[in-house]
Amino acid sequence: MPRACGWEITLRCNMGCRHCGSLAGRARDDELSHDECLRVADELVQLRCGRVTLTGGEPTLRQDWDVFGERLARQKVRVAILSNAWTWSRRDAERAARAGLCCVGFSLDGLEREHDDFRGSGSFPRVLAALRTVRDVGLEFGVNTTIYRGNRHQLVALRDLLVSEGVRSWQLQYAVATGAMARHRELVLPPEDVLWLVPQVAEFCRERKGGMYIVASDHIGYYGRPEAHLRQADVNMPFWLGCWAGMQALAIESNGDVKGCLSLPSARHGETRFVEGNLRTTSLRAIWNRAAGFAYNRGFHPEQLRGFCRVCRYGDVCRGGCTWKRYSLNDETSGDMYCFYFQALKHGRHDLLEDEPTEAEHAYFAGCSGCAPGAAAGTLV
Amino acid sequence: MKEKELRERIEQFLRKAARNVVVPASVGLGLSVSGCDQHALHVKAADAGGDLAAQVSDVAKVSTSDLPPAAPEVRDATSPSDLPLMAVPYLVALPPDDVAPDQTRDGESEAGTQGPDAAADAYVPIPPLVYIFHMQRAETDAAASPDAAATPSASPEKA
Repeated sequence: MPRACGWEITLRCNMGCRHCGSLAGRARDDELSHDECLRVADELVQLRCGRVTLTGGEPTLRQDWDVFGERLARQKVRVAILSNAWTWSRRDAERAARAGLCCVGFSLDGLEREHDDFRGSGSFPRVLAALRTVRDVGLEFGVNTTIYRGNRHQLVALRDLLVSEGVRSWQLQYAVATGAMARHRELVLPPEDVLWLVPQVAEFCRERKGGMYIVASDHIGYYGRPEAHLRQADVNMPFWLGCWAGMQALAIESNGDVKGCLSLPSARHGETRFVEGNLRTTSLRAIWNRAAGFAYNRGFHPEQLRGFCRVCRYGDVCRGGCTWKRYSLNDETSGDMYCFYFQALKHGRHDLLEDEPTEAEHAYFAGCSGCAPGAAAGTLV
Repeated sequence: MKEKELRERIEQFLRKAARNVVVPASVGLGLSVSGCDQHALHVKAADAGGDLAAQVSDVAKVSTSDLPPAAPEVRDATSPSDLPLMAVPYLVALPPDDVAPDQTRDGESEAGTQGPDAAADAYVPIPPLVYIFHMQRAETDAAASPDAAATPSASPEKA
């Protein structure tokens, strides 16, 4: 059964963020009706999905969002909602609490100038105000931050701000060049930045300043010294185990299309390969249990790996990293350039790794132009 | 964590998971545990993919005709302490319950606290890990027994 589901209840959005992977704005023409959504909620319960995030678009633009949340929460699903905060009010916080949601998340992509540059002028103070409404009603609240060129050097200041606001969890993720961000590739992080950024996030995770829980999104990291700190260090396998899409993660689009992860492209992007079925015609259980479903992950074979990942010692465990990130790179010859291990080897930073590179890994980068040893050392916090 | 330890932990996890799963003897270890709870699963899922199904089936010495119509019970296969928190991009990350005990959870609704994640934490091994486990076992078998050397090996390149 899936551990977590992202449920886009509408694609309608009142903002036009430069990095929006969903290309949100106008609602889909064929979004699920109220009754259809209630049925979807029941199907999620029947499938024993433990966590659901209501998202969008901007989910609060759908007036019945709390009805779906309550339907799930009453049946012991942990439900959260992710909002851009633009129209969030005290009344929304109270609705979330009444519905039994366990957490409200907001997107905050930097300090005021950088956040507003990314999302729209005047957005930053609205997010802070929204955080306070949730705190006032006693709900837990988290923040998601997308890291891009503009905010990459202010993460410490942002962390301190969130701690002072009493934020419970902070999820960090890279800007990925799909959807709207594909038109702003100049804002995406240079791949070599992971050499200082990943250790910094790991340090955040280790410190847990103010008790705030730091979550490195699934496309951050991979094997090297920082990895264990990135993934909940107290579990038996505190390391990346490969993409969860269709394995333990599930996603539902507002028209009923089912994918393994909301980040993966779909009809809005002119891409259908990740859509496994539609809930108007097939039950969620049938889609999840379909024999050939989610084949890009469930049917994984190391032969599918490309570029460096093909010779990487961890290839069979990591499976080439986050599927979404790999898709966005659109370069079958390189492998995952945002992988920490890849960049550490490429730049000769063996001090950041746990094992000496294998001969095959050495050979892969031998003679590589732009692979100056020690390059991109950055600042290790 | 060094690669050796990483792989040992995966193997431990899979051995423990397999121990806790009651399956018909005819069903290969590991083939019974997957993301699917209805079919005995990714064997069928991988049928479409070809190679993986063939290799896993060979290693585990089963054919799809041996598989039961429904998957065995796997809910107790592992514990929440095995797998790291899943942090799918653009979802709200919900911390595990034992984080920050100093922070009050009074604000949580009754519905949210009664059985947080009870179903979700009934983890099952993910198919590729089962695949790795079988490949490792096949290599061990091949080294130990000349007869087993015929087992196809699909281990990824490791120098």
